[in-house]
Amino acid sequence: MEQLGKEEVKETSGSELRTVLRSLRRSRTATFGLIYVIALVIVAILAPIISPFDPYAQDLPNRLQPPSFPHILGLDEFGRDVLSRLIHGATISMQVGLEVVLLSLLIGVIVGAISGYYGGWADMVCMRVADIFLAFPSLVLAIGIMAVIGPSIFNVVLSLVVVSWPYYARVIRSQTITLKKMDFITAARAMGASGRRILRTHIIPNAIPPVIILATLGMGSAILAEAGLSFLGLGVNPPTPSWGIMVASGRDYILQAPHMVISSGLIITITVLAFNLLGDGLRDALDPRLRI
Amino acid sequence: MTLDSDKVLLEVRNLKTYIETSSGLVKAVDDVSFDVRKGEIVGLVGESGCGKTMAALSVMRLLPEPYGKIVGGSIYFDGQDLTKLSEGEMRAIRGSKISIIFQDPLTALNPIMKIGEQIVEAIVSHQQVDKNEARQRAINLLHSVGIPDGKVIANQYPFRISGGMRQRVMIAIALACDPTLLIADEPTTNLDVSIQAQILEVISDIRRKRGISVLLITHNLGLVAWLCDRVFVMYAGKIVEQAPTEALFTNPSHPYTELLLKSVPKLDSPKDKLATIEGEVPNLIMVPKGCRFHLRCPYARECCRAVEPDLVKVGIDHYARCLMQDSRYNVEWK
Amino acid sequence: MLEYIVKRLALVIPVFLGVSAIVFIIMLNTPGDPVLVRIGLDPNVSPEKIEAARRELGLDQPIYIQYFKFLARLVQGDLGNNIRTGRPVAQDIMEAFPRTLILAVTSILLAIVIGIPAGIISAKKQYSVFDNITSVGSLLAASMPNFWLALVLILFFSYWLKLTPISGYGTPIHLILPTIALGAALAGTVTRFTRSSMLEVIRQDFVRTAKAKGLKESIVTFKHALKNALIPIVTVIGLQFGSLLAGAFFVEAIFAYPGVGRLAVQAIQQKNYTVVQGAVLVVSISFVLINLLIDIIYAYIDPRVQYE
Repeated sequence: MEQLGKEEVKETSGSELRTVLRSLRRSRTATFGLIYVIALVIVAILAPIISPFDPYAQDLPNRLQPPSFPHILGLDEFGRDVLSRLIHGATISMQVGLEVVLLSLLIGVIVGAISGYYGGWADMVCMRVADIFLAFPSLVLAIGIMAVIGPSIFNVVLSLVVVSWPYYARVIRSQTITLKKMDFITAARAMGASGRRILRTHIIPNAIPPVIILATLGMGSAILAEAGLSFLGLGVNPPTPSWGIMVASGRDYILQAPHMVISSGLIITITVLAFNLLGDGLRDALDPRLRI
Repeated sequence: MTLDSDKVLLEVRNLKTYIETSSGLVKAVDDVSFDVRKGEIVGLVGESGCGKTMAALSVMRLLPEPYGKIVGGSIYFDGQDLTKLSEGEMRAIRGSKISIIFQDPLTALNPIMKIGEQIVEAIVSHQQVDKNEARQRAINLLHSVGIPDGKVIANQYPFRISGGMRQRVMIAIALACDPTLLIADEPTTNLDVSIQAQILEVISDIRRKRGISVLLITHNLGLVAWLCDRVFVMYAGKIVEQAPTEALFTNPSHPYTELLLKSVPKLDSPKDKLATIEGEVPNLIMVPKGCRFHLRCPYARECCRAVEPDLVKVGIDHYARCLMQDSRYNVEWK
Repeated sequence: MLEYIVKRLALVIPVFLGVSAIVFIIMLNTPGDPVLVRIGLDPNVSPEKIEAARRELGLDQPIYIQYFKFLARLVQGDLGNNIRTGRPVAQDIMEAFPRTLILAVTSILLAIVIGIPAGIISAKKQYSVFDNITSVGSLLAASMPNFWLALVLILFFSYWLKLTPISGYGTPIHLILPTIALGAALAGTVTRFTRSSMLEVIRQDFVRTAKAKGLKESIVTFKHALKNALIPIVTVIGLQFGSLLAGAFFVEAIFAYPGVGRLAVQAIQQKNYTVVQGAVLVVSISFVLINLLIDIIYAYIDPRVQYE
């Protein structure tokens, strides 16, 4: 029976992946989202190689230079190449986004699955705690935490994880509760499988798919949140080229050098849009009932 | 088959209703003709998916837009061809001259609107009546469908009352403006057996006391035997047999009808296997060539595969769409 | 209905406690001497006074006792004193909060006035040009960082076109750009939810029944379809209110709009921790109360909820 469970999961995930990709390709917007995200990941990884200039190299006599050749997006207030900083900013954004999503997912899965499967007071306690975190407007709590512990990439990830894990926990928990009642779980239990084993091999693999949508959209929110925190000076530390910091410095020179503010904000918008389009596309692909 | 307009209330002629789906064009109603005379209860019978609901929705012009369309034929009611009316003219007829009740009264009623309000709305939209009188009429309507404490029920939300009562409410709404024709689409399918009989009583009463004609859509031949004066049997988008009820049951002239009758369990029959009809309901997108029933027909012959039968007269007011009944195909059948 | 309200109110209390506990825990970690944080930076304070204050504030006592004292002060409306000015934080916040509320309300109104009609039209004319443009537009609005939108709006309308003031508060004109900056994302979300909710509702049986009764198109769309479709829309507005409040921090800072958000952002830069704590608390508790209000509105629209 245990083998069957694993096989069930493997079979569905194999053919499902193909169906998902096919469905995504049918939507122009979802395809755009997917291609953009993949491109962004590549840019983020290869940043030091493809970046035309050193993002930290200053050229003060030419500061605030508008877009021109060879600096396609111009220079910032320290004469640094904007395009190069944006490219390296992609690395920061992707790094923060991925870390936040993966860690929140990890905590959310553990808490949610245990909560949903064992029920009882463990469930009550976990959900009360999750509810309390959810009672805060997410970013406000993150701002509060960052104000106190100080800006750094690590702290940004930490505060955003603290704020995001309840969403994943809730979804995993309701998935677990639904799965728990299914026949193949009862069968596994009848064969003497322990709770932990059931969770690990049967429930968790089958509970993941809807969470993938949440995770994709979560990447978008995490990137947006990091940009916001950095904008307020509560995120990543300068001179690290976070897109949010670039918008903040762009603000200081908005009249003399609008290219700074426009380029940095635009890249955030398009990136978040891409993740949202991809997330929407995945939602349509994985749950055709919701497809409109 | 033109009928005396004095006696005929609804005449559907050669109706074709097609539905566009992502898998293809579904020919839900493919050249169907039936009629309802004044004061009659007519049954439209068939398995699920045979197109009978679409036929009913076509009469009301309530097809799911934009996929469903009437592509041919005419629907004569009260001297007018309903297929040619504008939406505004059709709206004047819906709910006031022709009413329809649906299968699931829980989903068919607005869940967040009080019952009284839903009835009053029907009255007020067609008749110049003030709110108070409309409310009183609503309570009387509830009374007439067998709900004695109308005032209490009118103040409730649909989810608070039982399924049987909900269906009575639907009937009350349908009767709000004194229609001449009531279409009932599987009115008892979702109800408990004990409640079914009550609802059928209500419908039977409607004809008796108010002279309202009823078009009963169902897959249940038992209901048909009980309530209907005449029956039209549908299969795969076509009428395959039509007859007065008694004639249909005593002299079924189409293999499908025969099989339908055999599959109705009777209390006094020996307790052996229930007869079932082999095969599945045909795909209305890829309609089989020849007779639509030949793939499941125990009597099918070569000719059935090639020729689509016409409706042939087999008795008074009794027609069947089968080559066996057609004298032109004189082959040893049985 | 009343029973339902009371039940929900009762549930709010443990959430209040939880929220205050978390804010308390966060504030325990502020850098610097909490005594100075509490009594203000008065250079003339003698060491004995500081010690006395320490004892008075119970900072030598176990944490849970400190928490209860904190809670007790909270309930009396004492949020501590502004480190810089010495004024009670509660006063600062009482001054600033209504202004944030005004901004929040106008933003929500903007979102509803744009979002619901756009969503209805998109749903009725599915796949039309309008629908496609609106779909992308609403998603775009929801993806834009509000602080960036604010800056772009200022650049365009205040600097280049000189139509609106760059910053400040006082007249309705001052509200225009901040409202757009804050409400755009919500407008996008409301549009999308209205569209999908309407599409789902339009397909339901009771809408067919309404048409079968011969009701006018407008009655079917609004009285039957929209009212039912509003249920998830109202829920989502409640959830998004949190983002709205958070967004206010950014938008107010950029427009120098003197609400709680700006107060908090300035306080962060000045390391004025009591103000930050007070702002986070007040904003979070308002969010809890707003959600309670949303739940009540929800129960009013959908009576089924009360009987669960």
